[in-house]
Amino acid sequence: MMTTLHPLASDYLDRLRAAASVLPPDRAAELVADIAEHLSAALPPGAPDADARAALDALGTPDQLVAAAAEDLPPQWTPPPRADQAPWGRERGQESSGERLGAQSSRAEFVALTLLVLAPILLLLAPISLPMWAVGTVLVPAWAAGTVLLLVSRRWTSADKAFGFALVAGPLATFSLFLPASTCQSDSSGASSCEGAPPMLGPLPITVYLLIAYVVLWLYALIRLARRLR
Amino acid sequence: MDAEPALLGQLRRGTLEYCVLALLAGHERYGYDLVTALASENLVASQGSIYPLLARLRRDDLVETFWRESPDGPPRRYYRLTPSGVRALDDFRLAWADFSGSVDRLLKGTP
Repeated sequence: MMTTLHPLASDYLDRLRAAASVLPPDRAAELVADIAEHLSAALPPGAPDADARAALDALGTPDQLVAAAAEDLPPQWTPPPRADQAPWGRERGQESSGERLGAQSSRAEFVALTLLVLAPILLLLAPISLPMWAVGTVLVPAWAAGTVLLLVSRRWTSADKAFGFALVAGPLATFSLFLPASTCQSDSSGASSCEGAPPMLGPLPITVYLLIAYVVLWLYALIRLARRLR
Repeated sequence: MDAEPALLGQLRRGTLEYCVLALLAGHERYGYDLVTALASENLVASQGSIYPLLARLRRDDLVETFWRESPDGPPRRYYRLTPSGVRALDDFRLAWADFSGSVDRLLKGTP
């Protein structure tokens, strides 16, 4: 049943799919299928962006649709543990359905963010505080686990996950800080030559600007992914 | 309609499912068709929320769905009333006649 949808509609469906992950799986699949059918009827191939935006506005936000789909769920309903999510225990409470929808099934995502944020920070402290064996047996699996949780997450959209890779690259960026910046030698006549020195841009080497840009991207990715979990 | 959005929302909430049943009386319609018909009567705030409503009507056995090939594109899901749905709609017609009659009389100021 694959028809080419307008890219804005595809993006909307991705967000709907992510938001609907709190629903029972059959209900979530039904909602996404119905909306996909609606959008392919509403937007013929080649429809202009303005039409697409109007159709999506008229549809309502993904959260509104998921709330409508959850209206007649029994109050004590909580999603069963799913095979593709981390096997941590879930709290069962008497929260309202609105609170329930927001609180459920974000555990794995919180863990992913924690692991991906800790990995580069711990690596930064490694020469000072961590023995090398800890790096191999603790840090690397933790980072790998964080990356896997990011990839299998149902709460985050594909765009979110793409930004998440800025977080995944954290340890690499940290590692690059430890690389020797340049080696300078003096030859017999007293003149020194430096190899491997990065080009300067104004007062600072280019690498400093790249690092600052990366940190900004890293922070943006973290904030974006964390906000999705609200 | 110029009625306030909150007021309109309240009025719609109780009757929307019966409006859907009424649209299906004697007709089979597919989702998008139903939604545009309701929207043209200004009966929906968010069009997408009609689909969970339709799913609920199906769970309550008031409507049933079937697939039909469409001329341009993938097969479409069509909706039609079940016998229970027909009865529910008839009950609503009576209830609405009574209810709207009473409200009209009160609004006109006659007891």
